[in-house]
Amino acid sequence: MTSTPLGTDGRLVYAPMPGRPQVTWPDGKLVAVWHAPNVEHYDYVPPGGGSPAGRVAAPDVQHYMHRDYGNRVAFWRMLRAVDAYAIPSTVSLSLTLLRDDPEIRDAMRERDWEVMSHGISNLRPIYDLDEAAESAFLAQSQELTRTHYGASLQGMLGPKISGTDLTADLMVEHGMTYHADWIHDEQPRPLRTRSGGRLVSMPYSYMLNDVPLLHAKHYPPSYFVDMVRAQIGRLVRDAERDGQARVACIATHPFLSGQPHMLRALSEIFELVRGDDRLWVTRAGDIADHYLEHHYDAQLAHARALAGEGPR
Amino acid sequence: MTVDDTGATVFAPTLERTSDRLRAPWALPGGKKLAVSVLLHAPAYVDVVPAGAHKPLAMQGGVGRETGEPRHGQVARLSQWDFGLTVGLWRLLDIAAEAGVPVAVALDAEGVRTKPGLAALVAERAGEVVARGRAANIVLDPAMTADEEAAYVASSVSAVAEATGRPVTGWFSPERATTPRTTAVLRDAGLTWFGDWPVDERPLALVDEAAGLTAVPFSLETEDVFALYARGLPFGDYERVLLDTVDQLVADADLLGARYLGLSWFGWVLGQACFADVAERVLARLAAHPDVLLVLPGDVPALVGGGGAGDAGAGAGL
Repeated sequence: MTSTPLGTDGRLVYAPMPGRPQVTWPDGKLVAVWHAPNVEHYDYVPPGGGSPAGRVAAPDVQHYMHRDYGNRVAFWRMLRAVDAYAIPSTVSLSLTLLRDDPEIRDAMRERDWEVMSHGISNLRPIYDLDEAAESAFLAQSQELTRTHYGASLQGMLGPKISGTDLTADLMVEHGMTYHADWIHDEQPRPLRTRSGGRLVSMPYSYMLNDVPLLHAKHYPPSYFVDMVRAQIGRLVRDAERDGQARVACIATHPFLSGQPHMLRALSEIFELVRGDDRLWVTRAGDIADHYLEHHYDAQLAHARALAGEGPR
Repeated sequence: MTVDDTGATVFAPTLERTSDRLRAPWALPGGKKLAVSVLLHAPAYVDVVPAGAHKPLAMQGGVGRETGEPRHGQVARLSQWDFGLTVGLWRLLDIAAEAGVPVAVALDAEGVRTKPGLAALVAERAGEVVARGRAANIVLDPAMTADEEAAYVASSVSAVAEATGRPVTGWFSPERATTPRTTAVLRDAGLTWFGDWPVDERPLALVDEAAGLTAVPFSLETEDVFALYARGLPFGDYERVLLDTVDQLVADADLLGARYLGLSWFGWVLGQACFADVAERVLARLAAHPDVLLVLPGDVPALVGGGGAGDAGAGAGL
């Protein structure tokens, strides 16, 4: 273990894209696409009360009901589009739903979705947890998933995009292999950990993501389609040019993308993804596994050589 | 610098007040109508800013539209800015090379110190290397002393020049944050141009204690961070802004004399895959335009002519 905490500034292993050892995907695919539906639970009154949306004091029923609608109704509409195009999905999940919403759990299980942790509940960020509490949080996350889903978590997107200085260290110590909070690259990249355990970043997206795009920035649904088309089109062309396979993430939330007025846009997105056989439409854990098995060592060695460091 | 009886400093120091009505037209070599420079920003964002350093009050990037500092532990802004250095900058450099457009790249001290390979590759690929302060979010601030400001500038310039092995004559302040002294400090540091001021459509020779420094105006309206993040334009509308700007400036040159357009683009913004085609199409259009002179910003002061046509008549009548 290192004596100085790596913190947030010390995690990333820098190497410019030009000159890196090549990353390739199975069957010569050029861009791995993972669909990340964020299926979230929002407490009716979160621990400590407060104001969930900065609007009114909890219970904020406008906020709560809008999101609970997502799980009660909109999730199932979204699922029709997912099924129509057979989209493998990596659910960014508030893990209490595995226990508290067996219908959603079973629907995900039937479709072989990978469960990625999105924390226990989405109004319970982990910013203020000390090491013991964060370790207990991760242990509870694995336990919930093993007990109710029969699988171990491979990765996490922090609840409400939260973390601590130790999150990456503790994730790898709790058996995880990827962390989706980092959006600094178009490929998975090694993340430094205090134990030296292997953990990679998994390119998530706040660009191809219904909440920032539609909810926070007020673009229309058609712009979500435009963004996906532009992103994937460019990634494919660049991968063809430089031979570096890349990753695109399409992040959705049932309470938005499962709305009646969104189904057309969501279907168009899935249709364009399914219409290009240069794409590897898959799950985040599969991308991480492939990268760790085939590319992690070479890319890390390359970065360490650039930095003038010897092999670890 | 004049302070009035309310305590306000009414006008920016070292900048002569004038307008197109009062000055002789600017002319470009070969009768070109519009000079365009492309500056690619390659800033490094520091998540934990050292005590005593000055941070911006707000900046773009992160999960949604929030511009305040993220809570510690959320790495969205840190990693989004870092994308510019891992991927975005190189994509834009490839696009510019393909179009045959020379570009300047602005680096900061943090980036060249902590990102192995960054400085060397920029030195190899950039037409010009520009200094961009200490870090993306460690900025100049009026609370600094003159010595602190001079040290900030000097250390940034020397870090970038030494790491790249390239001469540095230009400057762009992170977040365009400055003090009333900055232009004088830049001049005294031996720099010949800076890009912070979106104040005109032609480069300006500064006066008084900044005489010798040229303000090369990098437009705000056409800057990708401002257009795509602060304003939130859809990328198609941003492309329209860029192309319409070029067309109008070319047309106006017949009325007003030659125009200048500085394009200020960030690897973490326009270098994203979803936006990069905008850069590709706009640079192709510029490269093919018979009335456009593509010029590195470091070559712009010579076009002003140090008291020649560029600033003839400046200040007259005001």
